[in-house]
Amino acid sequence: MHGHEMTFDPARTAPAASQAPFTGDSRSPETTGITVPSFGWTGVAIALHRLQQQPTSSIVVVRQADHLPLVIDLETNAYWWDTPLTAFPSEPVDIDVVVEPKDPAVEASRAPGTDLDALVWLIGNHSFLGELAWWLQRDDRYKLVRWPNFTMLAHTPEQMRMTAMLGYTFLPVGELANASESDPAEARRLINAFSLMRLLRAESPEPSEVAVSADPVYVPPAPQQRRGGLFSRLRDRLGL
Amino acid sequence: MSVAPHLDPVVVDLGREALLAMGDVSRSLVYASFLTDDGFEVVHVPDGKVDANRFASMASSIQALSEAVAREVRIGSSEYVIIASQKGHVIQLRVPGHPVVLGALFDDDETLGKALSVARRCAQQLAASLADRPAAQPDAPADQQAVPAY
Amino acid sequence: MAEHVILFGGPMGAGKTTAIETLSETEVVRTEAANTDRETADKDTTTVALDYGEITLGDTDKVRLYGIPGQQRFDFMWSILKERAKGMVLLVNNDAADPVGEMLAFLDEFRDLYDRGGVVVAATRSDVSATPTVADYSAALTERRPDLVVPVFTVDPREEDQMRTVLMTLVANIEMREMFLTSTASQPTSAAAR
Repeated sequence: MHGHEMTFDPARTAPAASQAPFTGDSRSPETTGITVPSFGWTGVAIALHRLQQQPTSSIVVVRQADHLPLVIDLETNAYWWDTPLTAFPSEPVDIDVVVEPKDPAVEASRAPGTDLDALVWLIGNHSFLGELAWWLQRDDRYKLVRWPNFTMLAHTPEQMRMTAMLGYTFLPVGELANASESDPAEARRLINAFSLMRLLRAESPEPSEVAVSADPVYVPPAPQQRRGGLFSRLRDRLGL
Repeated sequence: MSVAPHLDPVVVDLGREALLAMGDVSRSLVYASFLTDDGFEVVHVPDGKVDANRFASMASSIQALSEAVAREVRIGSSEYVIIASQKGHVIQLRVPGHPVVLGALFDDDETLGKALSVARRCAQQLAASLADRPAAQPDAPADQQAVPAY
Repeated sequence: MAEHVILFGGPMGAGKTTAIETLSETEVVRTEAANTDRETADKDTTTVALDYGEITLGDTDKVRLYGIPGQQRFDFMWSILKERAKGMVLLVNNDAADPVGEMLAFLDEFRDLYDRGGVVVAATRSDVSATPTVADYSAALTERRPDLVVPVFTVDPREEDQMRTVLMTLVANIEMREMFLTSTASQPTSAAAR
C-alpha cells in the first residue's frame, strides 16, 4: 500500500495548481491514506473535489463526534452513513476527513450504498462559510449542465429561482444574487453545491470584464416590495 | 361484453345493421358511427365521408365532456349532445346499458327533431340486439361464442 | 381575473390525472372512460377529453391545471389546449418500454412550449424502475437541444411536496425566461466544465 501527503494553506483564497500541497491535522490515519484538514464540511468538499479532478480508486471517510463514520465512494456515486440526511449536522464537531485507498475485500462485502447527490448537495451548501469554493472564480460565469433532482433535495424557493436563472444563461455569482434578489452568500453556496455535484459549466470573462468592486451588500426587500410575479404569488399561496 | 366492442365482430355486425336501418329512414343522414367510450370506432357508414378514427376520438371526448358538465351542474345524466352548425348537426347519445356511443351527422334537409328521433331509435335498436344476443363465455374469443338455436 | 394555464401531458398511465388531483385545490373534473386498450396500459380507465383542476391566487389570478389525454388519437385536444398554455409538466412512466423515446415524441408535439423553455419533465415510478435515470433523460434532451436545459425530476404524483416542486420549477423557468428576454442580458457561449 502507498499513500501521499497533500498539504493545504487555509489562508489561500484563490485556487492554486492542482498539485499544491496542504498540511493535515495532527491525527494520522491508520491506513496510509491522506489526511484532510478539519474545516467542517469544507474539508470534505475539498477532498471530494480533489478526487473528482484526479480520480483514484479511493473512498473518503468522514469521522465526527456523535456520528458513525460516513463513507463516500465517488466511483460508484454512493455513500454509507447511519445518520439520515434529515439529521445532517450543519456544524460538525471534531470532524476528521481521510481519503483512503479502497480495500477490495471490504468493498466486495459492502452493501449497496445510497445515491450521493443529496449528500453532496448538503455538503456543498455547508462548505466554505458562505464564500466561493477555492477552485471557483468570482468573475467566471456559470451555467447549469442539467438541473439537480430537486424533488429529492431539500431546497428553498430562492435556490429554485437562482437555479432557473443558471439553467437559462451564464451568470457570475454577483449577478446571480442581484438578479434573483438573493443574499450573495446564498448564491455562492448554491454555486459551490452545483460545482461539487458536477452540474456547472464555467467560462472566464475577458480581462476588461473583471469586476473591480465587491459584491453589493444584501438588503432583503421589505415584504411589500417583493416581486408580484406568478412564482411569488404561487409561493405565498402554497405556503412555501 | 367481455371483449371490447370494437373488437367483437358480432357487435360490429349488429351495429352496422342498426346504422343502415337509420339511413333507410333518414334521407339527411350523412355519416354515422358507433364508438367506444374511450374513442375507438366500432363501425361506421358510409365509407369515405369522414375520417372514421378521428370522428370516434372526438365524439368520445365530446361525450365525456358533456357528461362531466351534467354531473358538475347536477342535472342528471346526459341524454344527448347536439352540435348545431350552419350546414348540419351532429347528434350523440349513448347506447343504453353499454359503453358505446352513437355519433351521427345529418345535413340540414331534415328537422333536428326528426334527426334526434331516428338517432334514438338506432341506439335503442343496437341495445335491443345486444340484449338478445346469447351471453358470451368468460374469456372466450368472439368467434367461439355460442350461437343461439332458433 | 388572469388565468395561467399549465398542461399535464405525457403517455397513458404516466400519472397525469393523479398529479392534478394532488395539486388542485378544487375537486378535479375528470373525463374518464373505460379503457379497452389494455395492451398500451393496464389500467381500468383513461382520460378521453381532459382533466381540470385549479389553484386560486387571491382575487386576481387562477392557475388552471389541464390534464390532456395521452393517446395520439386525442391529439386534437392537445392542439386546443396548447394554444392557451403557459407551460407543461411532461410526465413519463419510468417503468414503460421506452420512456425516453416517449418523452422526445411528446416534446415534438409540443415544440412551441419546449422551445420557450416551458416544459418540466417528471419521471414517475422510478421506485419500480431505477432507469432511465434523471441524467439519462437530460442527456437525451441535451442531444436534441443543446441550447436548452430542461428540468428533469423523479416524482411520485401522489406526493404534494414533490408536485409542488415540479409546478414551482415550471413557473420559475417560465418567469426567468421572460425576465431575461425583456432585459439586455446576452447569452455567451459555453466553456469547459469546472
